[in-house]
Amino acid sequence: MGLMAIDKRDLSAFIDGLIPQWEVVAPVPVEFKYAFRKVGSFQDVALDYTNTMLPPKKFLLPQRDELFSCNPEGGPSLTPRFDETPRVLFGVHSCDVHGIWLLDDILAEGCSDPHYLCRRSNTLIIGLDCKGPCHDNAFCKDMGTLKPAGGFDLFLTDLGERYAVQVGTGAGTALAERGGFYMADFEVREEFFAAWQKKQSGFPNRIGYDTAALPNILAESYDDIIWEALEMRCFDCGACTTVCPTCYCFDVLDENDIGTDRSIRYRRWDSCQLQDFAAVAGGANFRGKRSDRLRHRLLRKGKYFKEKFGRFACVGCGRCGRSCLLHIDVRDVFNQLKG
Amino acid sequence: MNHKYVSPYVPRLAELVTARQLTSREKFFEVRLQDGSALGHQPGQFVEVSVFGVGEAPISVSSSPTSQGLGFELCVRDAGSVTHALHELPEGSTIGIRGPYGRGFPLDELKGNDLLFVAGGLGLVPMRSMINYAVDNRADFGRLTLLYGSRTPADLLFADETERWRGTPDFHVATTVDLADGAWTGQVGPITKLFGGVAINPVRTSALVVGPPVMFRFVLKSLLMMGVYESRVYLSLERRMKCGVGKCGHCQIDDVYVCQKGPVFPYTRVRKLPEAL
Repeated sequence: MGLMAIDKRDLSAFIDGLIPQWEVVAPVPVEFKYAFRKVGSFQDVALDYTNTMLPPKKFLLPQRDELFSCNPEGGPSLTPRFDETPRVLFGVHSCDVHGIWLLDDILAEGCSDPHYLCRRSNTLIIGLDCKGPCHDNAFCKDMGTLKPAGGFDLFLTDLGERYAVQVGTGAGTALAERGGFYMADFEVREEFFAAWQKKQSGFPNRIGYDTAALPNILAESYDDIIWEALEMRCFDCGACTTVCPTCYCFDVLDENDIGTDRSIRYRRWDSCQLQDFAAVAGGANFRGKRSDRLRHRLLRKGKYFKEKFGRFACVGCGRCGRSCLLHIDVRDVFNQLKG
Repeated sequence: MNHKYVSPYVPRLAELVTARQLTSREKFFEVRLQDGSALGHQPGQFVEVSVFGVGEAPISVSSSPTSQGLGFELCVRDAGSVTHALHELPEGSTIGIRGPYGRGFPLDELKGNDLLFVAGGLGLVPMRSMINYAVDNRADFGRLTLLYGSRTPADLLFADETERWRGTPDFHVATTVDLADGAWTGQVGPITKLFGGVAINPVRTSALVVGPPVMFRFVLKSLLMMGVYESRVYLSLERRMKCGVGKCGHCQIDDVYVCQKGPVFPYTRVRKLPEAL
């Protein structure tokens, strides 16, 4: 859609103006790292943050997500739970916008997931361009996520005295009407283009080939001994999937409210890397080998979703590699397979 | 609550009309949806059964959609927390039902063919739905053959019904057990042992296979050896279908969600999925 701009000095008033109406979530410093948290004021926001420990996914698909409550009185009666909190995710980097954009497709596809879609339709996303590689193992450029292509309402790029603002949706247009924003003139457009070129050249490629080849490379690697080699470094702790912006697998559980006979059915994040993920009550475990689980995760990231949705289920943020106790890094595996 | 969203995770309420012990481990349930509607399932499909406060588990429907009852039937082994809780529930209890889910047996493709049912252990539970469908639509199918293997004679399910099938015109039934007791006079050994004793016309036969994972390779080999066409072999694959709607990831085989594309697959599809067998 269109390109607008906002002067830096007006951003604070814009964000603070949203807080009475929306729950504004933004990156804030937490100890020596950053996390997406609800903020009380623009002052709390860390604009120059490097990637957060967990992606902002947790505000759309929370770790614990209540699906319905069950009250034994009345037959029993089941009451679905939908989180309709109006929310703004502010300061989301391009990689994480891509992550959300993919989840949008996945959770709307087939039998759509109304618990996600309800949160999503009440959430506005205001992205913010990062200025340089956040970490040695980020490979966003290779995965094609240096700039957003969808899934955002507004997306800000720092131009020095002001931000260029890409408007992605009608809701973004409405936000921009709240004041402070103006249409980008020729100068803004030139600066925006220069900033994009600078960003592109500032990010190195970290995969030694065009990732368009990745689905085929992975298909040919199905029986590769590399999975058994990786298995020796994997504790199947599930950290990689916990920090992933595109992982969405879940388990469904009941929790009793002791003393009232009421219960809550909720889902919580699960991980295909955990030992019992594909085990059934009868005793069979259909992905009991760690090497098979590692292969499954990597093929989901680099093959299956690319073939189904046209986009990788890996945004190259590098969180999994950073969180892995023994440094199993998707990027290294992708390189190793082709090298 | 006037939500524009309807959650596929919220079950319909249903009543456990009857609960009957079938073997030491399996119980048989007749279930009726509280709103009085029919389940509307196809043979081979499954439902998600909720025991409120305990959880939810995928269970195959065991009755045929052609059956005259007001509800549908399940046969459940006491194997996990939900199925254990289900076994404890008295008749008249309220449970939750979601579904039916998945793709069952391809009825249109099976029409006009001889059917060879191969069921191992609990595999007879979903197979029963298909068998009774074929019996109730007897004119639509050619020769019927059931090969049924069980662990011990005491584990044999639906003994009365098996006898009834045996009495149906042109329906051959053969059973075997892994471990016989003194009273058992029938076959002993793996299910593949039964293949020697059946006469089928391989080019007219569709083979339907449901059983534990270890069974498939041996049974497939026997079927193909007999000359059955690969495209006419259908397998029902067991997986952990936690959500039933293609989201939770647990039932995935490579890039296929079993709860969406299965649990019944033609062998020609399964052959291309390395994780399937």
